[in-house]
Amino acid sequence: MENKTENNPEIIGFACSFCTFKASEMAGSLRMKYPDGVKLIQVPCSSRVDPAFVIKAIFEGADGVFVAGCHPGDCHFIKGNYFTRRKIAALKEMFDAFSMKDKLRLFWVSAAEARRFVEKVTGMHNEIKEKKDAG
Amino acid sequence: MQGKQIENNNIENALNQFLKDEQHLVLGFEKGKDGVNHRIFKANVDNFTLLNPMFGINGALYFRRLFSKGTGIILMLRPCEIRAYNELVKLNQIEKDNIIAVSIDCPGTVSLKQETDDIPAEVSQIAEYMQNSGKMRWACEVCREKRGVVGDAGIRIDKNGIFWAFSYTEKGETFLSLIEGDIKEAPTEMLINEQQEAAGFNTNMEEFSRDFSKCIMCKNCRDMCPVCYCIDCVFNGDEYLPRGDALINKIFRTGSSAMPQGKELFHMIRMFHVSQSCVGCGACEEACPQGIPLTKYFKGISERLQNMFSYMSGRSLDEEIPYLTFIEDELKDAED
Repeated sequence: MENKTENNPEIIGFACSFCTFKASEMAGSLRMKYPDGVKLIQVPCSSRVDPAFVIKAIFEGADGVFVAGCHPGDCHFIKGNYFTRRKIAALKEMFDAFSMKDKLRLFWVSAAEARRFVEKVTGMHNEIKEKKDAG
Repeated sequence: MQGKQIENNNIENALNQFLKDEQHLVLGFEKGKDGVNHRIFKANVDNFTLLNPMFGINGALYFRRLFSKGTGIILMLRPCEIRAYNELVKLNQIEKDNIIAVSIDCPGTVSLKQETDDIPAEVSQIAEYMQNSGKMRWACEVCREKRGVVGDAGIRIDKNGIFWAFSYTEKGETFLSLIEGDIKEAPTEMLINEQQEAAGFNTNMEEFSRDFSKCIMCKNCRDMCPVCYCIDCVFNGDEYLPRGDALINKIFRTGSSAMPQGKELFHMIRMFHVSQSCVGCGACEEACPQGIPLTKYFKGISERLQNMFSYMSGRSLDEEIPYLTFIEDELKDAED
C-alpha cells in the first residue's frame, strides 16, 4: 500500500482563475477524472506566478509543476500571459541547464476546454509516473 | 573614431574643474599605499587613477536608490560597473539625469583575496601580467565586455598604452569638453578587443549540490550583488527559509532536510531573479566566505537566458529588460 502511494507523483499546478481554473471546475461538473496527485493553486492571472513559486514547489518535493493560463491574446488583463510566456520560457531554459527540464510545463487552456485540460494534465502525470517507475 | 588624447594629467585637471562646483562629485579609484580603492571625491581629486587591477566590490552597489536631484556626479568606473549602473537605471533605482557615466577599458582584475603586491603600474605591463600570471579572476577571463564602450563616455587604451576619451551621448560631450586638448582621429587598433562568446552553460543537480554544499547562508552574495536590489527580499522573514518552530513544523510535514535548510532554493531563486540583469562581475564570489564558484553558475545561466531574447545586460539604456516587455508573436514553442 505504501509503495503505491510513493510512486504516485505529486504535481502542483498554478491555474489562472479566469480560464484554466474554470476549465477544471467544468471538468468536475462534467464528471471527467484527472489524477489525484494534481493539486491546483488558483492565481488571479498566470503572470502572478513568480518563478520563485515554481522553484520552491520543486524543492519542497513536487515531482512536477505546471503553469496554466489563457491562450496568448485572451488574457483577462489584456497582456498578462505574454509576460508569463517569457518568464516561464526562460525558467525552462534555466531548468534545461540543470538537466531537469521535464519537471516544468506551460499550458494554455481556455475556460471552455475542459477536455483539453484533462488530457494535458493526465498526459503530464503519466509521463512523470513512467519516469518515476523506471527509476 | 574621433576622441581626445589623455596626457599630462589633463584628466585630473578636467575632474578638478568639474569639482569646482560645490554640488559636484566624482566616484573613481584612488591609489593608496595598500592598493587601489573606490573613493568619492569632493572638491578635488587626489591620487586619482584610471585603472584598478583589483576587484573587491562592484561600484554600482553604492548607487542603488540614488534619487538626489541637482547633484552632478561623474562615475569613472570599469565597464562591468557601468553596465550594472545601466541596469539599475532601467530598474528605476537611479535618477540618471545628472550622472555622467564613464567606462574605462579594463585589462582584467585580480581578486582581493589574493596577493596583489606584484601588480605593475604601467598599462601594457598590467595587460601582460593579467595574461601570464594566471591570477586573473575567472569572471574577468570570460568577461563579455571589457571595452569602455558603455555609458555616456568611454576611455579606451590604444596599442601603445595611450589613453583616449570618447563620447557616446550628449552628456558624454559635456565630459569631453572638460578635457583640455583638441579632438582628433584615434587609432582603430585598441589594446582590449571584443571577447568571443562562451559556449552554452550546462550542469546538473548533483554538481550543483556538491558545489553549494559549503554554503552557510550568510547571504553576502545577495547583499554584494549590484543588481539584486529588492528592499524586501523574499528571503527576509520565515516564509521561504523557516527557522525555529516554523522549521520544526516544516520538517514534520515534509521529511528530513539538509542544513542550512534551503540553500539550493535560495541560490536557484536568486539566479532566476537576477538572470536578465546579471553583468557577470563576480562580486558575489568575492563576497563569499566559503569560496563557492558562484560566478560559474550565475554567469552561465544569465548568459543563456539573455541569449534567448538577444539581450545583453547593461549594453545600452534603450534595450528593455526582457521580463518587463514582450512581443506578441514570439516563443511559439513555449507551450508543451
